[in-house]
Amino acid sequence: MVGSKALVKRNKGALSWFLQRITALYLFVFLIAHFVIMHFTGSGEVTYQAVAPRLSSPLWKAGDLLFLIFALYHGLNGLWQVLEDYTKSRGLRLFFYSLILTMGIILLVVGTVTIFSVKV
Amino acid sequence: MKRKFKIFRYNPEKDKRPYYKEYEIEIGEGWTVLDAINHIHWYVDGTLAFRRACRSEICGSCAMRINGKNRLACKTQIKTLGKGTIKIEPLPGLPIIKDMVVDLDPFFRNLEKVKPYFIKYSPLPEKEQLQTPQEREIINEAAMCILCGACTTSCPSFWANPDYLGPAALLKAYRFIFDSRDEGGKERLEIINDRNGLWRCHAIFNCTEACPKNINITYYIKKLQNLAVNNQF
Amino acid sequence: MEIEKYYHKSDALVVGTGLAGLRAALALADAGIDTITISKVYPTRSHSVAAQGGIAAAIAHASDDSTELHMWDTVKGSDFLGDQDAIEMFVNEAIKTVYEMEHMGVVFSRMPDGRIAQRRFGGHSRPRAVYAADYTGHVLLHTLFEQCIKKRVRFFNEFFVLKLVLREDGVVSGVIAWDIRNGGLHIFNAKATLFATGGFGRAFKITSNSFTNTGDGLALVLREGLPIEDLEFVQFHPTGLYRLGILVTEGARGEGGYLINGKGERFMKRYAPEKMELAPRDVVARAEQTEINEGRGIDGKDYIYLDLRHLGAEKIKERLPQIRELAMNFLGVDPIKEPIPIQPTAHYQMGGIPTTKKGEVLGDGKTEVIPGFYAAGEAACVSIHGANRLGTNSQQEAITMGRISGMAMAEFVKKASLFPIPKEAIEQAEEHVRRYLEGKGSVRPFELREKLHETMTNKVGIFRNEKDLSEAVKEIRELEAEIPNIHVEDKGLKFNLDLQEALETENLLIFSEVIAAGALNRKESRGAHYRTDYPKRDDENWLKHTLAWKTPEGVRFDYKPVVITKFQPQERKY
Repeated sequence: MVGSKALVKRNKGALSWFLQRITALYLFVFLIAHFVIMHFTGSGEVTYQAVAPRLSSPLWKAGDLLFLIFALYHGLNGLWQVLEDYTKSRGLRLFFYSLILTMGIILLVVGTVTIFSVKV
Repeated sequence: MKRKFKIFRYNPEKDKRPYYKEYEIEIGEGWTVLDAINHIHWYVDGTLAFRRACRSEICGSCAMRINGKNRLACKTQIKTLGKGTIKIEPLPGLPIIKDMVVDLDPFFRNLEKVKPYFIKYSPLPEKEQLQTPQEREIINEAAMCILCGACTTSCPSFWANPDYLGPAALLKAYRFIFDSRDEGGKERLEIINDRNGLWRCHAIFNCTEACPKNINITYYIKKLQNLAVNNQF
Repeated sequence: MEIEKYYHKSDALVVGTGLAGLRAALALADAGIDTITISKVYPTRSHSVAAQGGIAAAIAHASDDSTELHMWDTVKGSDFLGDQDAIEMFVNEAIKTVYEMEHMGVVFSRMPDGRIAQRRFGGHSRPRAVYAADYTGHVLLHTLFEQCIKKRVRFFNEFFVLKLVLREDGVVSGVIAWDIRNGGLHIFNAKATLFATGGFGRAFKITSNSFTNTGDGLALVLREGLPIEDLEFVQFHPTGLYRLGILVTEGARGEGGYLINGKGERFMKRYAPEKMELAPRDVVARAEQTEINEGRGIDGKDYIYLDLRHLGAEKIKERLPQIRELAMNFLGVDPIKEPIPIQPTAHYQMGGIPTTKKGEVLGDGKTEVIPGFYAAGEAACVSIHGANRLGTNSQQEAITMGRISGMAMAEFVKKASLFPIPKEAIEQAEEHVRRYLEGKGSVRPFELREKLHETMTNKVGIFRNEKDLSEAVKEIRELEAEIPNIHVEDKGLKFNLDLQEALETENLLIFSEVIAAGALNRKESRGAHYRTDYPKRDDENWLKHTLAWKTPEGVRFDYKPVVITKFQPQERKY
């Protein structure tokens, strides 16, 4: 048996596995919220007047930013897991890892700009 | 009743590449796939090679791919395989020695990596170490593993990456880590907490489906992942 | 054809990786001895894995048991043919074996307070079987395998032994084996060699034994001109799945299962009114066969029922999960709802290679120890089981005698030197394989095997008589004469299953004559050996062990007295 205080020191995949689950949880909650707010409450009409004020509130911006980060992490980390299964050579792995990282950064910048550009 | 068998054949001594050979034989009431290939070997084609021993689902010798699924030949009743030709192949993902015989050494080497033996540092009692039926129940199913290799060789992560410890080795780690008497849990967890260990399991569930002893292997791997994460974060 | 040769040296060599072999290897490794094990399968495929019910030891958790009682039950069960000095040592060591195995991590079933649980078994007067549900052998074997991994024992898996090297000076210096996987001769030179090669069940048509149980060790020993002890005593297990012979543990009756004949009676009341279904195996198997022979099988056929329904679903699922699975899969019968069709099945050899209490093989069967040669487990005859073995005593014997012989070997090896393997032995082994790979015979191994099965099952079975047995000896000798004519279809080196079966068939034929001739020779009924023409036990003339040698003219016999210490022979009633 492993005592409750036993510590696993090195990170060899545990963190990414753990974060994958945390982000999944957030995405799930956010998805539910999206459905409730956009489809099941209010007038049902999606108009600029209805959406713009919400998106410009700082709280929503924070939530959206978190969503952006988590969704990117979740998707790209998943992609990396699959690629890691099927690529053996260090070079190829480095290439894919850089590609994913670059993609992540670009998408993060584009997304962040989009979130903060919404003004009423 | 006559049944057709399409059997994977490969003898590295003379065949350039593997091929399939068809056999049609009369099968008896209650025959298993093992009965059929034994019959073929004895009466039709003596060059056919496969492993078998106990023919009662406990020794783990005769795991092979039957109609695309990893199963024990001795456990697979022919009548459960529908009407068509029955396709028999070796377990995937391991080097082939001949016909259905694969090299299991990589499988056993992975097993050896997880310290698959009872570890105790504190002094042992004169008589038995106590363990309640409830404590035993936690590892009962995992201890039923027969090391046939059906799980590990059905795992896409293992096919893609032979360095992955695989479900059988992880299950063995579970069997000891969750044994109330064992004291080697920490060192084992250190070993399996690795990109080619616990974290390569993506919960595909092929292992659980393939297990001829109906062990819920994926569940136990998840238990190990939870334990590792709880100890870490 | 080029046959490669490889040479290996070690201090100790263990042939066979079942419970006895692995336990011996572990004892050797513990003593720091460089040890090689050879097996024709991966260790976890050894037939010990299929043992179900339990392992006997008078740890007295569920009763007022004692080693004295265990000894008495074993002596009585053996029909007074067991050597009592060996049995006394065995029942005392048995307790140690159980705790030692638990300390290695075996998942024995437990009582609510966390102590090891025990159940009833045939012939034992107390609940004495320590068990792990109905897969005790599986957990024991896997545990020993794990411990051998820990101790870095050197495994040579999938090697088939062709020759025991008994030198002219009477020393055993190793074996010569065939590499099943890649082909090639491997010469294993060692200071001490242990045979833990298991049983001979595959000589019979209906058997609980694995395909691998072809008595290879017996044949290897007989070929070298050494004797075999008490081979006529063949245990038929009362409950094999109908037509298949697959084992249904005696634990099923230990938990309270009934045996029912075609008239719906619990017929054991006529044969063993006190013990009923839990009489020893020889008694129950004979009772079943009598019912069947007298037309009281189910629908008059050759099987009867094992009824577990009254035990209830919960108990069956908890204590007997494996046999439920086997009955459902192989016969389509769920023991919770229906009785299981069963029949007696060839199960165990009481006799074997004669050894001392330390596992040293006796060259003359009596007193003369062969330096460097040991045997343990089912392959050996100490003799603990005499004319009939009690259930759960075999796993116990395999582990206990494995340990004791391993330790004795370790002592021996420390003082012994390595004797080289003579060239002629290697040439003989090579010639043996070449004969099959290059020869042109006309009879397929399995044809011979099927004929042998018919003879052994019909004429050397539960009930025996002069006429059948003399015919059997004659028929087996005729089949033996066909050995040079065996045709091996596969001429390749790699994983040649056909070659392996030819070699195994040859082995089966070599020792089967000893079983039949021994049975013909013993003109009495004792334990598992029952002669319809001599239905009484005859202590005056036959309270002695048979020693048998193969000669070109037939089997030669000699005898040795039974060791009697505490218990004088008396009538055996259950």
